[in-house]
Amino acid sequence: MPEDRSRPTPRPIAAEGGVLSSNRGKLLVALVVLIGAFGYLAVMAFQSATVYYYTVGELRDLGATQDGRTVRVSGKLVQGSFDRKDTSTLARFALTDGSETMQAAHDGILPDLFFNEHSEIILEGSYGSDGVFESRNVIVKCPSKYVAAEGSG
Amino acid sequence: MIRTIGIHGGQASERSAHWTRPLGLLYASAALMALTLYAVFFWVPTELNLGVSQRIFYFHVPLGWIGMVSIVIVAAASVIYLVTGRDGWDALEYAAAEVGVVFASLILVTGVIWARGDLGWWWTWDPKLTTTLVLWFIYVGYLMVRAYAPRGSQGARFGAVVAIFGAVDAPIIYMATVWWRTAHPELNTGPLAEDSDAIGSTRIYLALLLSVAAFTILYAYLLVERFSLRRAEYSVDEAHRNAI
Repeated sequence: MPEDRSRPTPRPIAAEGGVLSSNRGKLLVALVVLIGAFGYLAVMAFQSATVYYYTVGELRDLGATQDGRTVRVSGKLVQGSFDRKDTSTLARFALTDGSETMQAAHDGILPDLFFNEHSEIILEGSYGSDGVFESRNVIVKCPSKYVAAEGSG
Repeated sequence: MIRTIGIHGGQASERSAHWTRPLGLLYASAALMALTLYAVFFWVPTELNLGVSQRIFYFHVPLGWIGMVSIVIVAAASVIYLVTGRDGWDALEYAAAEVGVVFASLILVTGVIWARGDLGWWWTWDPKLTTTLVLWFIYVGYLMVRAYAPRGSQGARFGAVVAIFGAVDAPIIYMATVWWRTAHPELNTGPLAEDSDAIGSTRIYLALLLSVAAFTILYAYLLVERFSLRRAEYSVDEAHRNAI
């Protein structure tokens, strides 16, 4: 096969001029600019969007949510605070971040891990001016600590 | 001007036609996978809080690991390709992206199943999950660019740019639970784990190592196979161009 039909190597291009006159040089410049821009955007976007949830204390300080805005609050279930009538799906319970406690209500099905003392619970909903968090969604965060159950080796 | 993409000229077709399949990797991954399945279903203790469904951990974690490693391989091969212009690196880059997208899809699928089964939710827009979904889009975006860009070195360069951006996502995913508040459990092993004793059972830990090894070797096998096939595709392309 004649040599000129194989893929051109970078050498002839670079020989035409400086780095910037070659396509590869332009591409590299474009890359640096783009990475810088995307990186900047990512950092800026994340700084405002990364408060995925508030703690109970933080939400208390912020006060009641306005205009049906949805917020997330995270805490642990206060053991013994859970109350739900047998014929109802409306549950009332208290959530704590260790120092502060908040009353909350949720209407719906709850997973078993909701009741586990190691689980962190994230509620999505609104914080009413009556001091009760009306939860629309429950997101249980499973413990990252793994312990072997008794009797299973 | 005609640009052919085989770098070895006339020798390429002969060389690629006789590639040896990495059978050692295939057998090793099959054996380790069988061992992993045994360990996961019969040997490892049931986790106290999460119960039986915690066993999906031994699939979810290795898939996540490979999903992140693969985009870094794509990007590293891209950089080397941009510098050297050798098609072998482009073939590696493409193979790693194609295999990687499968693993990235499975991270999301296993995560969604696990969350729904154990925790009662399918998905939430927290930093860890969102950046993982971004990773999936990066793989898909890369493959779309390669599919739509003109065949040959230009498409390879476009792809390389996407891949280099994409690799930035891998450390972000890994660090997401350290840097931000998430709904995803924290790292429970590795140097950055907050609680170094988070895995409180030697068997759970060993089973995790075993499954990561099994999936890594499976990945290596798939990567080498796809790489060889890609080289063969180049040779066919080149033979086709030479014929016309």
